[in-house]
Amino acid sequence: MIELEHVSRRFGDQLAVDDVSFSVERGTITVIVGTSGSGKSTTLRMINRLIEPSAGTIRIDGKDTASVSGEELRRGIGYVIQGNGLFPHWTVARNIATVPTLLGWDSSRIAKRVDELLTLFSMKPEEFANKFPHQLSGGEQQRVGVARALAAEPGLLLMDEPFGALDPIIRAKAQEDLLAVQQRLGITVVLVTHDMEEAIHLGDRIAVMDGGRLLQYAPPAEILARPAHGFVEKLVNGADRPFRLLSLAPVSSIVEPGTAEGPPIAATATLRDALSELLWHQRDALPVASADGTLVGRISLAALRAHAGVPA
Amino acid sequence: MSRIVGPLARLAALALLLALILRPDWFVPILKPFTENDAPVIYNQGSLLSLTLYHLGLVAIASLIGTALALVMGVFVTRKVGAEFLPLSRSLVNIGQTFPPVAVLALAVPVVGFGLKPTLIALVLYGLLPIFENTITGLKEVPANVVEAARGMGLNPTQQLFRVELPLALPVILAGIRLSVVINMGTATIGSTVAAKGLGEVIIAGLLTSNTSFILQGGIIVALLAVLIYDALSILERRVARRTGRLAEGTL
Repeated sequence: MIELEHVSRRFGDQLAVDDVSFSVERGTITVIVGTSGSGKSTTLRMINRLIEPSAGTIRIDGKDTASVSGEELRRGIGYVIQGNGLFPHWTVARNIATVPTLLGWDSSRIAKRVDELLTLFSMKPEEFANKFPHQLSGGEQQRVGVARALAAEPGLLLMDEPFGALDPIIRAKAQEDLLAVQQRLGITVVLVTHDMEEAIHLGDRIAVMDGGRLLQYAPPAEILARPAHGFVEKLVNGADRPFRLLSLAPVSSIVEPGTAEGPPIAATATLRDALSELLWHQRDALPVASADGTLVGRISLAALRAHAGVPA
Repeated sequence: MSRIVGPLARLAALALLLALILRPDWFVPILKPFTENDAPVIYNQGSLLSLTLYHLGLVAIASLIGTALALVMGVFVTRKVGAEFLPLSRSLVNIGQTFPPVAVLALAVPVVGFGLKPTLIALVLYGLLPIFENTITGLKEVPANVVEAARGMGLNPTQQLFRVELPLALPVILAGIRLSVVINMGTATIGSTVAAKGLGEVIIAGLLTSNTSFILQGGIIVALLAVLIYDALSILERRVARRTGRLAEGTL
């Protein structure tokens, strides 16, 4: 668990982060979202002390981060930045081995870990281990960047606009990869983005920042349904609002008994996908199928409608 | 085309150089017209091979000292603690480059005596600028997000410098060293005016006896050495640059 308590950071007479407090549960993804200059990156970089707080305390699993050296702290925390920051003069394997090498792991353990991570990110070790970063595609570089951050098995992963430099298709893939890896390893992730869509898609909780202040800290559904007055409202009150809300829940959450005509929808699909299918096939209801193909009920437009907004 | 011409030209230059040093007699017919009154055509006051080796040794020592000094200064002024010394260091290094080496010799001889020492001082001062400036440029050109990643991974400042910043700046630094070595190769000939052994002796002997043949021999050997070393260091530089995934951009 990460706890920020009344954390502030001043640059000259500029208050970049102003009295921010929140806590992050172990094993969850928290997304800090805001425009540039909102203090979101500064907040993230104070967690691993790339930037020292001017005031306040940050604790990780109850331990004050100021009680160890910055370098020691950072070796225990995964860190991914925009444009991946891979070392261009090192091979993929050596890049991934950065922190284990610093920690003095023996070489056979490092080699094993590198293989394991490349495999986890579906990159064949024998093909990729000895390549240099400039020989990889943007998506591959991004995956190596995350693999490098996870090399020493940190419990916490900090990501600063990790998908910012990727094109939309690779970006979507990278987001799915992150969700899968996070679930599999059970790590805690704190991610910074300026993209509300990304925040809603990835976050278990979203922290909205503006002008150095934390405006709202809540699960995505609540941010959408009950945004704080002012900036957060402006950020989420777009035409997409009902669709964003629908994208948060799976079909299985509002499946009703009964049957319907038409092609079945997977129970794991999002409500947004279900709405899209209903509209496309011009139906009021469609059957719902579980993973093994058996029909488990139906989903109706009326149920979706009840779920897609809040009464005025 | 250039793939064949390059190596061929290089080989020809090397062959010519070796012939000039080891078999100077072969060139008697060519150089004969440049002498008068039956003066000796081929330099006869010492072995050209040993003078060449002295010359190379002198340049090597001067370049090593110069590289070490310029690197340390360049690294220092790009650190946070040394940043305020950048203007001062830059002025000092610029003075080293603009102050004529001959004048340095004239000033150094009364203090350190004749021979190797004053020549080394003049060469080191004269060769600092390109290495110093390229070290600074090379370090500043290391992408900010790579340095940020190094810090974020928990590398301490020394590890950042030696594992990330210097290796990435190396192609640019090497370009500076190459320029400095080539400048020193020519400048080292003036060392002979203060009795440092080197190819300058051949040229000066030619000047004193109005023997153009001697001047040509010394001059051509020095020029060929400079060209070949420039070439060899360029190849090394490109190798290193390719390894880091980017090509070097020399600044001077």
